[in-house]
Amino acid sequence: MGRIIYTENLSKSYRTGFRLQRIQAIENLNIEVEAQEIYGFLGPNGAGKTTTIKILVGLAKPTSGRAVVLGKPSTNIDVKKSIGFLPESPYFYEYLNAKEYLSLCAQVSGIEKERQKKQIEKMLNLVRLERFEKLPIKGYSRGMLQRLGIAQALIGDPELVILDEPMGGLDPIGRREFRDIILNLKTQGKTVFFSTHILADVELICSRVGIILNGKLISSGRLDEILSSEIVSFEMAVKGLDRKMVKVIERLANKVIASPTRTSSEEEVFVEVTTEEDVDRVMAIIREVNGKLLSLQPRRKTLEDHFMSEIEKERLKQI
Amino acid sequence: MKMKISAIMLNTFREAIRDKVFIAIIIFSIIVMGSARVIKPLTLGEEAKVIKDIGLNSITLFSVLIAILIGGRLVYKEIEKRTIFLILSRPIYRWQFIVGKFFGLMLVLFESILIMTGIFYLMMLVLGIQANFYLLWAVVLTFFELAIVTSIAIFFSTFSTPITSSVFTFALYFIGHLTRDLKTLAAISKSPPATLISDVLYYVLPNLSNFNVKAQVVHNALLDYRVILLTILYSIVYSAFVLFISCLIFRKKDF
Ligand SMILES: Nc1ncnc2c1ncn2[C@@H]1O[C@H](COP(=O)(O)OP(=O)(O)OP(=O)(O)O)[C@@H](O)[C@H]1O
Ligand SMILES: [Mg+2]
Repeated sequence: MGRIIYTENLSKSYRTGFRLQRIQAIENLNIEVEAQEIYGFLGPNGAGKTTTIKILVGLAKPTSGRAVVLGKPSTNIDVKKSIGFLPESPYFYEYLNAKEYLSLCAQVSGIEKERQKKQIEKMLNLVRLERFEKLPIKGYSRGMLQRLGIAQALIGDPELVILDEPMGGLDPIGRREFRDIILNLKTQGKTVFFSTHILADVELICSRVGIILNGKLISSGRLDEILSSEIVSFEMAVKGLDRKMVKVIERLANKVIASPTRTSSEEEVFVEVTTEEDVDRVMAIIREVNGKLLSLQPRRKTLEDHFMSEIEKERLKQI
Repeated sequence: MKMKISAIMLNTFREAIRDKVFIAIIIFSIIVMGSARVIKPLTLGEEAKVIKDIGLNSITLFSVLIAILIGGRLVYKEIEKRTIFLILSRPIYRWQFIVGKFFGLMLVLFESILIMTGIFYLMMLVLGIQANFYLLWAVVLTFFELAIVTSIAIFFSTFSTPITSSVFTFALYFIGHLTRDLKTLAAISKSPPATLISDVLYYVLPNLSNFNVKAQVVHNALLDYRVILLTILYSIVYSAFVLFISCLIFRKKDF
């Protein structure tokens, strides 16, 4: 199967408030997610990520345009059997315990009776909630709720998993475990679509990203192409520079960090320059004053650089 | 398909019986029925009838309260607490959700009525009042009346807050017992528009007076079984229709 998700000019507007003001939550959105991809859906607060996801899982209807998931319109009921969904800060029936809740999910998902028990156990194991399976959900911590959310999304082995900020509330261990779960899904041939603010996680697991701002997709592509191996700057740590030399270097570097209370030239100075030529120039200065180069590190483009520059570009366009 | 509806139904049932409101109402009904004893010395000879009257009326009153209070927030609460996201994103039709909710509350009401009726009969036994099973007709009809009340509560609950839903449902329940008079009103009225309006209201509003046979059963008066059957049929058709409208509204909803 080729495209697992695609949208065509998907738009959604809400009318709110006393005067029914129109809010354009998303506008002419075209996204494509290929089979077995891990797609990271990025954007600042209020960009329209949750709105898009709600349409993809059939909780909301588009104002115009369409969303096709696993070859069917996103409102199709049968196709939902193959979709796992985790909403943003999920809420559960607090009077149930994890086991009862997952059993309810399994039944509503139409999982065959014989498979239900096995699936529930497997999910509880996967998210390490087996110790708490009898505890009413009312007593769960934020991270435990998130784990339960992941468990209910993966029950029944869905083909496609759609997650809205899945890392919310997880501790570093939980986040790591979660990344492993996602990567494992990929090796099983599943497709994952998730929204997040945490760019570092995206860099580690995604194969494709889309960036949404003010309801519009402003950038999308394969992560390896976006990041290429482009070097954006060099970071140098230098020793043995006097105050005068620091001033000279400041003129050609993007950034120089020297402690303001520096008493001797023996203290470290941090220098960031953009080009190799600048590196050579700084090196020449160091040699001249008998200074010492402690380290030289090329810095490759990070997703954060890309994210920030794309958003900056878009903001400039609007002015 | 049946599994999905019954999953929603059982979950609704489980939620209700773990709910404080439900427990409070049941306890209160027991207290009220038990206190009927106090009246005993006041009523010469008629005590059996009075106690039966109080018992049957308590069963109706408290089960209607459960239907209105729990029914009024049945759907709204799921939307507000966002628990509905994880149900409706699964392969279940929205109408199945509504129907499951309806039967879940009906199951709660069935159990409540069973408990209250049991206590009622136990009390008659303790007080040495001759009980008969003829009284049960009043209870059976109450149950079918509750189907209408529940469907109306769910209808309001799909688009308004619990308090509004409960108030409107109660108002309709109250009016429902006066609907029969509208027909008479229409007959008396000479002006055609007034006749038309009261006619329309007569058919749209629930007609609940036929569900009240308490006086007849307490006084051992003969019941017309044909009317009872028609009344039960009316309950099924009316509540099905209200549920159908609720599903139409619910289908259009964005979450
Ligand atoms: N039900 C609603 N009624 C009115 N406006 C809404 C509704 N849902 C979303 N919006 C608006 O649509 C826009 C996009 O919201 P959305 O929740 O999709 O953002 P998001 O990208 O998920 O943000 P976050 O990162 O904070 O979760 C916002 O301006 C929001 O105010
Ligand atoms: Mg969001």
